[in-house]
Amino acid sequence: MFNKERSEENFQGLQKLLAMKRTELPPQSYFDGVLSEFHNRQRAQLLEPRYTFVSRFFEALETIRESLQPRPVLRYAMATSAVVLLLAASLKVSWTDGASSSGLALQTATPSVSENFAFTQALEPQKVSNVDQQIDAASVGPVSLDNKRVLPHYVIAQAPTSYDTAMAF
Amino acid sequence: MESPPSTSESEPQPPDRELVSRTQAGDPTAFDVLLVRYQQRVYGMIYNMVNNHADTNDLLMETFTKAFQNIHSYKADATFSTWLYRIAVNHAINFLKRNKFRNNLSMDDDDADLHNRKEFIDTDVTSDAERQTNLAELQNKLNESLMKLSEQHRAVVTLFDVQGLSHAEIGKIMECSEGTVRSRLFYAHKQLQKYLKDYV
Repeated sequence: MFNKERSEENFQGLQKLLAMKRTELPPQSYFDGVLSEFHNRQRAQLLEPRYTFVSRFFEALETIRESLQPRPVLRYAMATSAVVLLLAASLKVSWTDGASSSGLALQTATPSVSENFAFTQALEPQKVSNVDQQIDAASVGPVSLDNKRVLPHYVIAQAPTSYDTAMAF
Repeated sequence: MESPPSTSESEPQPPDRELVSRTQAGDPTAFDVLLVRYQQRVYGMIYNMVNNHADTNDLLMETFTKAFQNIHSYKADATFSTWLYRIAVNHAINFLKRNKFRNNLSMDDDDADLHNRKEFIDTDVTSDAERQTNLAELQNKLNESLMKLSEQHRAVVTLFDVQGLSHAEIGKIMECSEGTVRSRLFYAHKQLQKYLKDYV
C-alpha cells in the first residue's frame, strides 16, 4: 500500500506552482466561439464527400506522384535528359531498322537458276579433284599387330645360364 | 463529479444526467449545454498535456465530436465528466504518441497572458519588467518540466494539481487503481521538484 503521507510530503511549493496553470486559459471570447465552431465542424463533416475505395486509390496515387515530384531546379535537367534519351532511342531504333532489313534481304533472297548453276560450277573442279586423288598403297602399312602400339616385351628363348662351376664327381 | 453550479442565477441548469438522456433521445441542444459547461475544464486539461493552443483547439473539437457520436455508448456507471475526461485524456495521449518527435515545447504566448494577471504579481518585486521576466521564465521552466514527464505522469499531474480532481476520480478516468495514481503522482512530483529545484 502506498503511503499517502509520503506522497504528499514536501510538495506544497510545487503544488502552488502548478496551481498557477489553472488560470492558463485563453480569453473568454475564445470560449464564446467554441460552440459555433463545433457546429461548423459537424456541418462540414456532413458535407464531406463519401470516399469510395476507387477514389481513395486515386487519391493515394496522386499523393505518391506529388511526393515524387522533383525540386523545381531539377525539373529542367530531368526534362532535358528525358528528351535526349528519347532522341537517342529513336535514332538507335531507326539505324537498327535499316541494318536488319538489308541483312534480311540477303538471307531470304532466292537465287535464280543461272546463278545457282554458276555457283555449282565454281565448286565442281575442286570436288572432282578431291575424288580422283590417288591413294598411295605403300604409304599405308598393313594393319597388323606389329603396328599396334604395344609395350616391348621380351621372351627368354634359352635356359638361364649359371655362372657357378659345374660340380664334377 | 457533479456539474458546476449555474452561472446564471435566474435559470437553473439541468444536471448532466438529464442532459445526457435528452441528447441520447435525439435533442442536440442538450449536448450544446454540456459542451459549454465543460469546455474550459477540458481545454485546460488538454492544454496542459500538449502545451499548444492550436493543437488544443483541434483536440477539444475532436473530443466533443467523439463524445457526441458515442453518447449512446455512455453508461451511467460513471459520471459524464469522468467519461468526457477519459475521452479527452486518451485523445491527448494518442496525439502526443503520434507526434512524439515533434517539437511542441513552443508556447502560445498570445493566449497565455499569465504575467499580466494580478494574482501572480509579486509585491516584493519592484520592477514591472523584472517581474514579467521572472514570471515568463518561471512559466517556461514549468512547462518545460511538465513536458519532460511521460504522457501518463503528465496526465496525472494535470488532473490532480491543475484540475483538482481526487485520486479516485483520476483512477476512474485513467482506468487504473488509486494506488497506481498515487504512485504516479509521487514519482511525477519528485521529477518536477528535481527540475524546478531553483523555484520551489
